[in-house]
Amino acid sequence: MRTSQKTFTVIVLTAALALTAIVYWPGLSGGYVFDDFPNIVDNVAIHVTHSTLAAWANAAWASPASELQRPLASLTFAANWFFTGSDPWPMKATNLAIHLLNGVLLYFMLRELVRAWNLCPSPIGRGWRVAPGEASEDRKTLSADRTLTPTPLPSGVGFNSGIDEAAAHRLILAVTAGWLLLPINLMAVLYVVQRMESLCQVFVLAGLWMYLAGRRRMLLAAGHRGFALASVGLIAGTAIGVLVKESAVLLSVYAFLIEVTLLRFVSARMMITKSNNEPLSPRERGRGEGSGSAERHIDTGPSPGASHHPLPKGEGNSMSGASRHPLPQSDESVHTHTRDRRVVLLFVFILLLPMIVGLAWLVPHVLGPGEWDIRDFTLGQRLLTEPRVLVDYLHWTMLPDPGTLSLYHDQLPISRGLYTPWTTLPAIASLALLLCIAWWLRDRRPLIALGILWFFAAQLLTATIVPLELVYEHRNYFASIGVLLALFSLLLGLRKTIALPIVRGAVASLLLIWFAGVTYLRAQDWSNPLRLAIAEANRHPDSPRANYEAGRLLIIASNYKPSPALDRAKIYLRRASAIPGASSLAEQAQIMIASHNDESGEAVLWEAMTAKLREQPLAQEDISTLISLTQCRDKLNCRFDPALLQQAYVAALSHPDPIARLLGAYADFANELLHDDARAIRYLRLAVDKAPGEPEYRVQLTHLLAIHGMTEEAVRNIDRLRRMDSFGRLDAKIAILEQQAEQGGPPLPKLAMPASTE
Amino acid sequence: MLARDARFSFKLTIPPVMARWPSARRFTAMFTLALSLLLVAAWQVYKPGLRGDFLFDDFGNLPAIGATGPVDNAATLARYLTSGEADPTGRPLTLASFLMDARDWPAKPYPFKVSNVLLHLLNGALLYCVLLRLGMALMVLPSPPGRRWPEGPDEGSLPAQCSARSEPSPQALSRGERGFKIAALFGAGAWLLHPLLVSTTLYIVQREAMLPATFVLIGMFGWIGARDSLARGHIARGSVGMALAAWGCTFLAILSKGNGALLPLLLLLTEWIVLAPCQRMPSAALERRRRLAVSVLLVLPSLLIAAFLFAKIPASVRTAQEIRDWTIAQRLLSEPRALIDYLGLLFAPRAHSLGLFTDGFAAATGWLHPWTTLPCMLLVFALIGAGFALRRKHPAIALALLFYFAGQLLESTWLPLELYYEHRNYLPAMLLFWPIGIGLGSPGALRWLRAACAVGILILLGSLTYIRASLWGDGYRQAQIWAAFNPDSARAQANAAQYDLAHDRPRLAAARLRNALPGHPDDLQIPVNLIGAECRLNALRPQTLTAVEYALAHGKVGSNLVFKWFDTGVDFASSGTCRGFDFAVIQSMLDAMRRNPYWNAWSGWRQDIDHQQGMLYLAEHKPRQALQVFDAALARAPKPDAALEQAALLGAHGYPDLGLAHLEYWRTLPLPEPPAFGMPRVHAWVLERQHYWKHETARLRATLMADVAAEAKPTRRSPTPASN
Repeated sequence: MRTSQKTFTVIVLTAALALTAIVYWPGLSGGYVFDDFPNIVDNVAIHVTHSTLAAWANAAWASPASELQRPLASLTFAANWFFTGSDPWPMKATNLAIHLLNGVLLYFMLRELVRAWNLCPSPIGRGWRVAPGEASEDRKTLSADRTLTPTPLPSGVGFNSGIDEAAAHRLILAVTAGWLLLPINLMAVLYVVQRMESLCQVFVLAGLWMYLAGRRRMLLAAGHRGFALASVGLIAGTAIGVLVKESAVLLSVYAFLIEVTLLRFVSARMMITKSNNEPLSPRERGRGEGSGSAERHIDTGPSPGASHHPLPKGEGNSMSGASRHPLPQSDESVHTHTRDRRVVLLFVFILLLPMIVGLAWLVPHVLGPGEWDIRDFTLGQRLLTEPRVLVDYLHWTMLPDPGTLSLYHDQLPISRGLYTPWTTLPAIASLALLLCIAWWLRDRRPLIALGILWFFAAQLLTATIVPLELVYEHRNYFASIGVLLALFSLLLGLRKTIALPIVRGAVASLLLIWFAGVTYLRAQDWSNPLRLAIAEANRHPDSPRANYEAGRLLIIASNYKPSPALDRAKIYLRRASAIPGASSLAEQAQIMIASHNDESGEAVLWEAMTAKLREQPLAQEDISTLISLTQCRDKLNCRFDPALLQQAYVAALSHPDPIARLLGAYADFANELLHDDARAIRYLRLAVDKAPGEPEYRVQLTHLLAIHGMTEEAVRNIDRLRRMDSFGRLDAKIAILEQQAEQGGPPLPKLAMPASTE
Repeated sequence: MLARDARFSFKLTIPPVMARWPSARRFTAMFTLALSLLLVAAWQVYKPGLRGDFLFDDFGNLPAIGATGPVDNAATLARYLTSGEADPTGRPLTLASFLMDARDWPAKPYPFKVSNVLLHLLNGALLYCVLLRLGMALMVLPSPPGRRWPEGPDEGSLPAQCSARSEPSPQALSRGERGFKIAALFGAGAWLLHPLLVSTTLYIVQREAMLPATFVLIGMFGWIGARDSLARGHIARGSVGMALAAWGCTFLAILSKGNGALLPLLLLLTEWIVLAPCQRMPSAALERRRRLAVSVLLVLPSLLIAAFLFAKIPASVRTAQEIRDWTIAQRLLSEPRALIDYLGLLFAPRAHSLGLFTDGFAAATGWLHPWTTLPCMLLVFALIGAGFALRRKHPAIALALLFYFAGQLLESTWLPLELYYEHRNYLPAMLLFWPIGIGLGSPGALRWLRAACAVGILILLGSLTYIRASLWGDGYRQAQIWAAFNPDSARAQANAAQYDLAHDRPRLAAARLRNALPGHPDDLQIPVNLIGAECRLNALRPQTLTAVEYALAHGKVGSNLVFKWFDTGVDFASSGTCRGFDFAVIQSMLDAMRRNPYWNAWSGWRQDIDHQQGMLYLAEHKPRQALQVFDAALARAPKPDAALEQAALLGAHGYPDLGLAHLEYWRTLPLPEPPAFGMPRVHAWVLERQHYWKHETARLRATLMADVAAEAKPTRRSPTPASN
């Protein structure tokens, strides 16, 4: 890289990072939203105040988000909490720093991608080879350091060394800047809990970077260093990334797609096989002797033939030359195209086999009974709906506007057939078309193909068979790289000269400005929780969550006292509860208002809520409803009759196979409000059976068993807890439970009674 | 040509090239420093474990130190050193080593643990030396072409790793030297810091497993050195050295524990896989001498071991029937599972393992019950097969594998020992990490990454060991964790319950034991401890007594425990502190014991029952009946220690005349048969030579007579002869 270009890159990159920080700045002053509460604000284990190993271990295993616990993400939240307490600003600032880091990593990863690709041959026999001599005299090869310049490679071989360095940098910088500023990525920055996504992508991007650096080394030199670097990149990136979020497993898929489109699993051997009259390269001889001599040979600098490298059809270069200048068939290097078996084997071991194992584990799970009970859609409906969601994602990524982007997309109608809604089939068709285009372009315009395939690959976990919710913008954090890569490749290309440069440049600049502007507007919205909530609710009147959130924050603002704010809250809440399929959260909030102020009409609300709980599939939010009401009655000022709440619980429990959280919540209710410990014990036992690895239910159960003199069962449970007690995180609780068990207590008279009917 | 020959011959292993090489000394200093650091690190990770308690079998073995008085004179020393009963040898060297830490009982555990850890460090350092020599052996060059003995194998068949293909440069040699030094350092370090060995090192009585390992290592080191001498043409020095290394060290190892008898076999494997192919004798005459030494010093004892093992089969089958819950066939089915489990723990170590209480390890009852039985067996055979198959191409891997399995030959085949113990890996696992060290240390690509890997692995192992050692330093917590991780082990549950009781938590203890009771109805330690816990709670339940009686009538193991516990039981009943536990209960327990078909088959145990019956009569103030059953007990096996103890008991309870009568009765009985061959016989001979029983009898008789004379005020206490 020449100095001027280096300076240019540094300036542009710094400017992009600075601009990103500026557009996000207003949003840092916002508050916590939605899932931040269960994961961070209400998650006591995260709140590390004294630095002990047990406290950190406890925090690491505290995520309620997934079975894999995401310990690294939780640890960073805990670290934030330890240093700055509950203030959301440092949390969001940390997220912004992670986002900026990701931008830098993205730049280096893409640079490495183009460099490695630059060393690769053009695909053989696909009719796109460019004849020698087409390359212009002043064409520079894209490479940063002289030591790795592949210049001594024999001429006449179809390398991509004709990619214009300046153009490639232009493209990479545009993608990086665009991605940094992209409005859809705001969710991974200002929505604190989505650090899980952005931090995970740190390791994905770093892993890809390492992989590509290793691959480039493999293409340049024999020996195993490159391969080791590539393998370590993929394995370590995945392993560490998974500790943050499961999305990291897609790292090897992304790498695989790079191989499929750009690098094609080729080995260094093909480029150094005897071509024309050159003797066997030392690299060839050097296989097995170590790589030192091979690299030294490459170091010798540009060969006379360097400037005559053939030009492949780069991005932005339309059909040129192939038919006019057919490749001389005598060139042996064309026929010695070899795949690097190590790379193929690597993917067999880190992608294919884990994928088979993963599917074997996953498929019975998603087809199992009860897995979809917590959702209001089935597997088939999810698969029909997701194509529409993906089309929306593409729209939101490429043509974002503040009106459609949102924290909540729960108003999205579910596809119940190919024509209901009518957009279902067209969405499926357009995605299929896009995939076909990617396949068709994989030789002609591999970067575009890679971009499209990355977009789809990034959705593999969240838009397919796993029973997650349907839409979240943060799921596009990596996918948007693919979209932008395809978009800017189409727009700017990799050639030095492009047709209509001013128009294309202007379009690209306008896009960047548009992205920055929309992100800035969104960040403004995010600067104040109430403002955000009301804006979201007004923009998405069909979204139950948006309306509920607005109502909830207005209630908090009014502190339950009759006021205009409370009246507005009621409007939003009524609107939320009227939306078909909405959860019972809105009713719960209205009950709380009514109960605080002794208003009439509470009975109707109870009835409506109980009916929803009984008839609709039970969502996590519904269980949160019940838990909030229990806490409100127990500790706050709600004055409703517990029997009403019990009816609501019974309605929720009437669904088959209730999950542990509901069972635990009901046990808590029985214990706190009904003072019926026998019932609490019964439901805690069910909860423990349902979630044997979750210590909290077992702690509660053991506590009740201990104080009622059921010491044998308590001791068994203490032993189980001890087996889960990694790093002493449960030590304090176990010590208390042991004391209680030793003290014992009066037996439970009710325990001998037959089980009640609910 | 001759000069070249000399250079290419064996002498390169202590290479003059390297000695001249300027950085060689720096190398040595660096590696010595690294080894010292490793030893310091090992000490540090073991340090938190030094504060632990005596455990389990410690109580069965260590009290022998003070059994015949403090070991401060030659006579007591002779009695103590010959008092072992474990192997035919009685393991006198191990017993002697305990004297470093205490010369009387009771003693504090701390010095014992310190000695154990220091011994472990010594073993680690020795292992480093052995691995270094083995690595040098692998590095050595083949003899130059044209130099061949008629009976020697082809040059081409040399193991790939031990022959360089072309003349190496000093730099290559130096790189190679660094490689095998790293390998030795890593191999020794991983073993030294391995968490699986904590349960050997910090378990005092397992010095029995550590000392033979020391002698095996010395033997290996000596053998390689003596071999060098032979190769240099020092025939006498070489031969004597080999004999000392092979036989001398085997002898010392056997005196530490029977397992040491495997040394010749282990040496044979080393010789066969690494030394013979890589370090050839420079002349045919020396080669013949080497072969002679190998046949006489290694092959012959190995055959003897094999013969011993095969000869033991019938006795093993019988013994297993008497004292174990499984048959020898079931043991053979189960051991591959245990071996694979050990290997799993060795290569994928965890912070917590089964610990000492491995009685929860279930015996296999069929090829597929549990289903892992057959796969594990196939895997073990595959690994052994791999050991043989790889011996030319990868001699280090082959040696590590075969060394491991050979080291398990005595304890993991058909001798009717318990199924599973972690300490059985102490010696066999020694070479397991060395091939990994070779891979990490060899010159080639990514050296720094591999070096970092090696350091990382050592740090990980050290951290796990630290966690485990910390647990060993806190007896109560350790007991609780073991109980939690071994829910099926009656021992672990009973042990935790005892700690609960000691920490004044009888309710927890009782609950734990009640939980364990249904799973182990035959295991005495559960109901016996439960009685203790319920008595403390003052809530002895009839079900508990029924459970004790059932276990007494049906249990195979635990007779010793009952024997020891009975005194406490009688005291309990006579003091009346535990409601519901009285003499009638003890009587019904004795009756239950008499119904036990396994114990009844053994005359020693019937004698014990009669003895207990006598104790009960004494407590019930029925001296005549007591004398009667004591007499009957003695008649079953007229041993002096029993006679003296019973006479003393009669005297202590205020019946010195009956005590004298008992002694008289003993005199009428025929002398007991001398013990079978082995250390007990030596012990008997020592006692005889010291007139020990004669003196003790005279002393007791005098005391009893004095008591009779002072009949007006009967003594409550009279000296009890120390039993051995």
